[in-house]
Amino acid sequence: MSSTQAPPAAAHVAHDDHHDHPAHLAHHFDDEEQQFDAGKLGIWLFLVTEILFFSGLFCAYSIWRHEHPEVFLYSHYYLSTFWGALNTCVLLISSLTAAWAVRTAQLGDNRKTALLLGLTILCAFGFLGIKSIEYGGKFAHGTGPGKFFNPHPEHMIVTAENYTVLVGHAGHMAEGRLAEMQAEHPEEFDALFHESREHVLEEALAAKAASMSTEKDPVTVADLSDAVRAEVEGAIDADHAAHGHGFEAHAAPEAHVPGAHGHEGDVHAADAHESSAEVEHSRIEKAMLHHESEVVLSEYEERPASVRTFFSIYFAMTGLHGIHVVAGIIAIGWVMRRAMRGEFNPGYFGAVDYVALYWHLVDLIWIYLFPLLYLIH
Amino acid sequence: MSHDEHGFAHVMSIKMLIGVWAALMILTGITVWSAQHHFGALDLPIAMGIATFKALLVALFFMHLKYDRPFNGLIFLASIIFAGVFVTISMMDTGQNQGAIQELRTATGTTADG
Repeated sequence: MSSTQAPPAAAHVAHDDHHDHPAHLAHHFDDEEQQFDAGKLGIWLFLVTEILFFSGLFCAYSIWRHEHPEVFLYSHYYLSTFWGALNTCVLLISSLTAAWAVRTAQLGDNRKTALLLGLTILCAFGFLGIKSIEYGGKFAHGTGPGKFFNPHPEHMIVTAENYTVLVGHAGHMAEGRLAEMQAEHPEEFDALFHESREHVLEEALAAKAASMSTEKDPVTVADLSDAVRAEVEGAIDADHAAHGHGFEAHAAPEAHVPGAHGHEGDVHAADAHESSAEVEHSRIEKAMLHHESEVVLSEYEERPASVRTFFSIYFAMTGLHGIHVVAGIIAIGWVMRRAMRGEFNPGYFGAVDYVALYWHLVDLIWIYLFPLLYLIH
Repeated sequence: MSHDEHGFAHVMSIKMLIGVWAALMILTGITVWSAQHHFGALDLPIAMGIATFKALLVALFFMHLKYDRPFNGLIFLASIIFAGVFVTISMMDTGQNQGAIQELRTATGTTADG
């Protein structure tokens, strides 16, 4: 008897389940809220693993930047702030549409949810499109990751097309650096001043000697009388007294140093340089500027060791992020299809919320990648 | 929870969504602008400060953490703390082996890109 009683009881329970549970509520949950909370906890745990996953790359980045700040400073001129900023905006728009889709799903408006998720996917494709333009440029310039790092000389920072602009910058930057030196390291500044004065004096004496020479009677610097020397020296100091007005600090001309692409910014910086060149400096100051410009140029001509590693880190970080964008497109596409079928309602919108949370995390990671890779100074 | 008319869902108003988005866009503009100006040693802290403020806006509002069960926020916070521990401890010995690397480079004649 006991064995025959069991089946009807089990059937009764099963029947009750179907009676109380809406189709979208899984058997093992008491109610919709419990089902939603369980799913939400699950997606949050997944996001935690994602953060720890990315933290390995952020760790590599931190160690490398700490060890080799000069590599990062040098390499970031190859990255376009414009494309990076545009991609940030595209991702922020997609985050807005994703968050908005959660709202419409919560209100049971499946049509709007599908539309907003569609816009999110569109932005995701836009992001990948911009990323592929950037990646294409990197490979075209030979600044790929690992073994693909073989920069073509004509695309290096100091190149034929960029060189004249850089020379302009060098003069402009030299002025700012001298102003800074004068304020912060007066003893260095004085040493450079005296060195430059000696240099100008030597040149002037040589010129004086040459002007006094005739074919029959060559005059060398050593032949000049003390009176002539004093006269030349006096002229240089008088020139400095008349024209010397020190150096002016300029606002960050480095920000416009040409990258591999040559942006509009270069033109503005070049203009700024021309306007500053109108200011007349004394001969000693010109010599100081010339010296400092040479220093600036030598800094840019010399590619620091291990620039390759910057591009490996850049490709690893943005590449892993890009793979997440692709995964996001697939996941959001799947939820969009479900919205088109009208599956969501105020008691059942978890799937929309979960893919949106994932998408926001992808955005969150980009919020850090953008300043860390594109805005280095 | 608080909004009975929508069951357990917390529905964000459109005004709030667009407001948060606009704030994020403005902060992006500020971070690009600040990168064009030099603040010396403060450059990185400023950029990271703005990024963290943006991340907070996304987490609290777009990701609903402000209205969510606190436990979800707690595990999220825990992951960030552990990521911080990971990076901090990993960075403790940076610089320790640079001399050896430089010696090796000199010895083997490795120059750029090694």
